Amino acid sequence: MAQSGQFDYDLIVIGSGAAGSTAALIATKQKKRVALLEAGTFGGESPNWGDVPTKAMLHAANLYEEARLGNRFGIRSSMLGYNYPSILQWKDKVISRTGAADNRQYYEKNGIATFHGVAHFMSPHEISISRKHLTARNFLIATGSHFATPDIYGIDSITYQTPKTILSLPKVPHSIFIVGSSSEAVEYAQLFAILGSKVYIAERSMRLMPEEDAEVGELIEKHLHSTKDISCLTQTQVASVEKRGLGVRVSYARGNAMRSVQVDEILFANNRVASTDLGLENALVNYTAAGITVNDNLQTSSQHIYAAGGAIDASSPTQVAMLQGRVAAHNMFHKATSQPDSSLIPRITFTNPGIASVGLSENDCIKRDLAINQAVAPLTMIARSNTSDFSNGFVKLITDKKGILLGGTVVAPHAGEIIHEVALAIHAGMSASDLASMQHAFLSWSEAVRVAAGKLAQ
Amino acid sequence: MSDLALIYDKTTQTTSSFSSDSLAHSLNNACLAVGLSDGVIQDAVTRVCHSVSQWLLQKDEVTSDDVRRQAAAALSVVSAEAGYIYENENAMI
Repeated sequence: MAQSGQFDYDLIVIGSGAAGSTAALIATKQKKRVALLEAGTFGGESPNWGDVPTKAMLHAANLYEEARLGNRFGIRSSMLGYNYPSILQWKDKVISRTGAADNRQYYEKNGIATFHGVAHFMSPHEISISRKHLTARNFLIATGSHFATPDIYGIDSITYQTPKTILSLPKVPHSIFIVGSSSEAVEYAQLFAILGSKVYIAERSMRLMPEEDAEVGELIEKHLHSTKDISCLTQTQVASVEKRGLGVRVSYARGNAMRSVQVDEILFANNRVASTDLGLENALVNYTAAGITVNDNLQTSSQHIYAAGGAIDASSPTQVAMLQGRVAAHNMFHKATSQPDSSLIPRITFTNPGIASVGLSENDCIKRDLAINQAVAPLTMIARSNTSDFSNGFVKLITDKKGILLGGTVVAPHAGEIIHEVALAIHAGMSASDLASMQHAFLSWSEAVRVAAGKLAQ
Repeated sequence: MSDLALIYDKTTQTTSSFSSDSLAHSLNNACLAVGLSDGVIQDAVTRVCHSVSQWLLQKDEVTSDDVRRQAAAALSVVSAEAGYIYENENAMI
C-alpha cells in the first residue's frame, strides 16, 4: 500500500474510450504522470465496435439503397448487388484509419503508461491490474457501459447478439429480431433491412424511439414499415427464446396475445448498463444501478476519484463522454473547477432520413411545466423534397412564450448536419424570428428550418 | 482453479487462493441461523459458490470483502435473511 504523498502516478485512468483517452492525453500534456488501464481493446467502444464501424456500414448500405432505388431518376440499377465481406473490409479499413482503434502504442508514445487487464480497486488510492498494484493521487473511472445478459426465459440456451458482436457476423442473416428501439437499434434495423434481412423490431413503449418526441417515433415506424418492410412491434414484451435448428424461436406478448417468430439472429440493443464492477466499495465510491454517482464537478463520493462517460450514464453519447473527460481532467488539477454543460448536446441517429434533436424536447417542456409554442414544417413544404423525391420528414422547433428557441428536432436527409444550426441558435439565445430572417439557400434541406421558424415568428 | 482471482488481504498485504470450502461453510452457517431446511441450504450453497466462482473467473485479484458482497448478493436471491446474516456476521455479536 502506498504511503501518504507517495504515489506511482498523478492520475490513473480506468478505460481508454472517449472519456478516458481524452483525460489521459490532457493530463500528460500538463506533465502529469499518467497510467491508462484497459480491460478490452484500447480506444474503447466508439472506434472499435461502436459509432465508427456502424456508421461506415450504414454509409455503404445507404449508397447501395440510393443506387438500387435510382430507377425513378433514370438510373439503371436492376443488376446492382453487394458483397458483404467487402463491406466488412471497408468497415475494418475505416476503423484502422481512425488511428484511435487498438491504439496502445499511441498512448505509450505520448508518455502514458498503459496496462491491459481487469482493474479492481483494493483501497481508495490503490488499484490492482493483472495482480500488479498501482497507486495514484487521482483516479478517473471511464469504464463506459456494457450489455447485461437479458432476463428472458431460455436466454442460456441460445447465442444472442449485442451491438458489440453483431457486426462480426460473417454473413447477413436472413432474418433478425431486434429487442429495443433506441437510436442504435433503429440504425441496425435499417442497416440489415437494406442488406436484405427480414427485420423485426420490438419495443415495450407505444412508439419506436420513445426518448424522442412522438412525431419522430410515429414517422419512423411508418417509414421503416412502408419502405423497408420492417415489422415494428410496439407495446411488445419478449417472453422467451428457444434454440430452434440454427436459429432462434422468439415468443413475445403483444396486446393480449402471445405470438412467436423464427429468426436467424436476435439482437438485444436495450440492455446497456454502466460498468461499475471494479471494487468501488473498496474505494468508497457510491453508485447505483444507473451508474456512478457524481457531483457537478464529476467527483464521486471519494473526492480524488472522478467518473465520466458511460460509467455515470450508460446512454451517454461519445461527444458527452469526451466533454466529461476534458472537464474531469481539468477539475482534478485546477482549483477553479468547471462543469460540463450537456444541455445542448445534439442527439443524432444516422438513419435515412436522419434523426437529430437538440435542447429541450416537447416531453422535457411538459415535465418542467414550461409554457411553449411549437411549429412543425413537413419536408413537403420545401422545394428540395421535390427535386430529391423525398418527403418523409420534418423540422420541429420549440420556443418559450417570448419566442426564444428552446429545442428542435430534425427528421430529414443530413439531419445530423442541419441540427447544428438549431443548436447554435439556441446557444446564442436567438428567437424564432431571428432564425426565420436568416437567409437559407434555395433547394437546401435547411430551408425547412426557416419555414418552421417562420411559423413561430408569425 | 488457477484461473480464479486471488484474494487480497488488505491487513497483511498478502494474497491467497479462493477457498470454495471455506465459503460454503460460512454460507451454511448463515442459512442454518435463519432456519432454512437442509435441502434448501445445500441448493443455496451450491448456487452461491458457483456464482462466486464464475465472478472470480472474470477477475485477477479481489478483496475478501468483495467475495463477501458477491456471495451475499447471490444468497439474498434464495433467502434475503440469510444473505443479510452472511453479509453482516462480522458486525454481529
